[in-house]
Amino acid sequence: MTSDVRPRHLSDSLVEDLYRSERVGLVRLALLVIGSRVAAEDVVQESFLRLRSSSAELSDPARYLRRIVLNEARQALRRREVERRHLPAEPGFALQPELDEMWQLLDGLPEKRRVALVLRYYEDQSFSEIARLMDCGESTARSLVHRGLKSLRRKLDANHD
Amino acid sequence: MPTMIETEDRLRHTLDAVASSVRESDEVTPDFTGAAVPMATPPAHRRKGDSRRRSPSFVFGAGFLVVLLFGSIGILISGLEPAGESDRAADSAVAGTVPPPTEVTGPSTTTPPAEQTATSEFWALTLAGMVDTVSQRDHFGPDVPEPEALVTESWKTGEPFGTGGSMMATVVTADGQLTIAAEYVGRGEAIDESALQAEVADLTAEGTAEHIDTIWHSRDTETALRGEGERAEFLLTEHGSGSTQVTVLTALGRLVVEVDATDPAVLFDTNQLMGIATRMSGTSLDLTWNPDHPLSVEVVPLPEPAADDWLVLDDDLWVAWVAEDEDDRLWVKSDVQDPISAPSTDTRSIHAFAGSQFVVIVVGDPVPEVIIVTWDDGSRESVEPTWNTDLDMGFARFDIGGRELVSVEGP
Repeated sequence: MTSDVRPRHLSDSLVEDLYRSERVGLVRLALLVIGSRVAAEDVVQESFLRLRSSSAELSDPARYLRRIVLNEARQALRRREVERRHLPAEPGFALQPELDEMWQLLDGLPEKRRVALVLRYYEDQSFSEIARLMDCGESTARSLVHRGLKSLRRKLDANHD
Repeated sequence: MPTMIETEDRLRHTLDAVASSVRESDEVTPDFTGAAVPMATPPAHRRKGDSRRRSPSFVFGAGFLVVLLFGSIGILISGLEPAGESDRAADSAVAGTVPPPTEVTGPSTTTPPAEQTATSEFWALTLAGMVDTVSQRDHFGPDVPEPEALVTESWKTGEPFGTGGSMMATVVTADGQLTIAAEYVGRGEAIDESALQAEVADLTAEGTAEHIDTIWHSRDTETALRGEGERAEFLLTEHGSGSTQVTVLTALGRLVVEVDATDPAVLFDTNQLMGIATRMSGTSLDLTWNPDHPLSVEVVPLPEPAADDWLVLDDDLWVAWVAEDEDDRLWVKSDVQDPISAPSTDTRSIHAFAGSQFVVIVVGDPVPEVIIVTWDDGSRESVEPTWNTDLDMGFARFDIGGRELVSVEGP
């Protein structure tokens, strides 16, 4: 993991520059996907380690890093589903009731829909970019966002009935 | 109900609010030594006394797989740990006194130590998830358990067939005691039935079980039913001497089939049962299934989505509506002769019979270019599905023509 066998262009200084410029944003993204600050930081740290040891020729390391983070976060989210069944819930965020309600609903969505919604409404990504990041078709990305939003809307309505 | 725009706005505000909890001032000095980097300010929600240094998730994940595999085999060999031990494992994991992960050397078939590694913590949690039913064993007592308590859930990990998962065999003894052996199989690996058989034999020799009625092998059944693309969950509700009751979740609702299985070695013909499940998608049931085995059938309809949730899939060529209910099940309706509605959970296709037509509703990811059906007369037909790109759903229609459907490929 800490191997020094890596292309020259991924120098320590470049990775460190990326770390300083991208880390906070990536932790935020991972946090929104996983729902856990601690896990999000682990994911980002792991992603930087993977980037640093990558032997791939990278034309856009930042973009590549973002994709690593997203994949790692999705894996972490799936693992967390198992943990959730057996561990007490991690204390949540101090949010206004209205926002907290939405956060809880988002937390209950299937993984793909949650990720698609985060990419669309937090990162303002295009459907084509969402599709690329999630490794699916553009129509699928559009569908995931549509269904996720529809599900949130319906559950909001049910909560207030 | 809030509008879509209102929902979008609330979602944006919520995401921004949560993201803003990670402040720029939380930035830390780069450290690529492999360990997680301590934050400048410890998060307020970290549990008191939780001094774990989180290991990289790749170690965590790889360790989890290895330990899970060997741990499960260990359980298979030595018999399951008592339910209370599973619970204690999870409890001690919560307590969170965790030494470095390098201490993980393999499976444990005894009570996990108070101090666990991060990997064994997860292993314990996962096993606890895999053996939920076992944890109920203490509650069974000497009496024959209620049917609900005997429900065997396979594939607890939620992974689709063929990529690994857990299998459980249920053994009901003559006095009503229940023993369950669990095995985890990795991707592409076959379940070792002989090991299971040996396990049961050991239990018998130990006197744990006075008499073994049968072993139920979940995998073949899962294969058959999942192969139809239905979300047909096979739940074993009772295995007694002389009768077997099986519940299948099919397109129209729960199908409860009671089968006379006087020979415990021959439980039921899964293909024939699959045939019933398939027919359940249509407008009628074939109740003449296997006259040598008396059966009764009960259909419990599932609740449908509200009327205003239905979306028109295509009203130019043929009318079908698609909707999702509160459990994210997809439903489809058609107005071809006999209206149908069929839910499907987490599948990429819904098969539905409507009058003389057989309809395949497909959901994207990946998008199939063609759907191929094979009929019982050996003929095959292929149709390119019609797509609604907004919904990422499409459908293909086939005339039944008095034939029986054998298989559907493509979605």
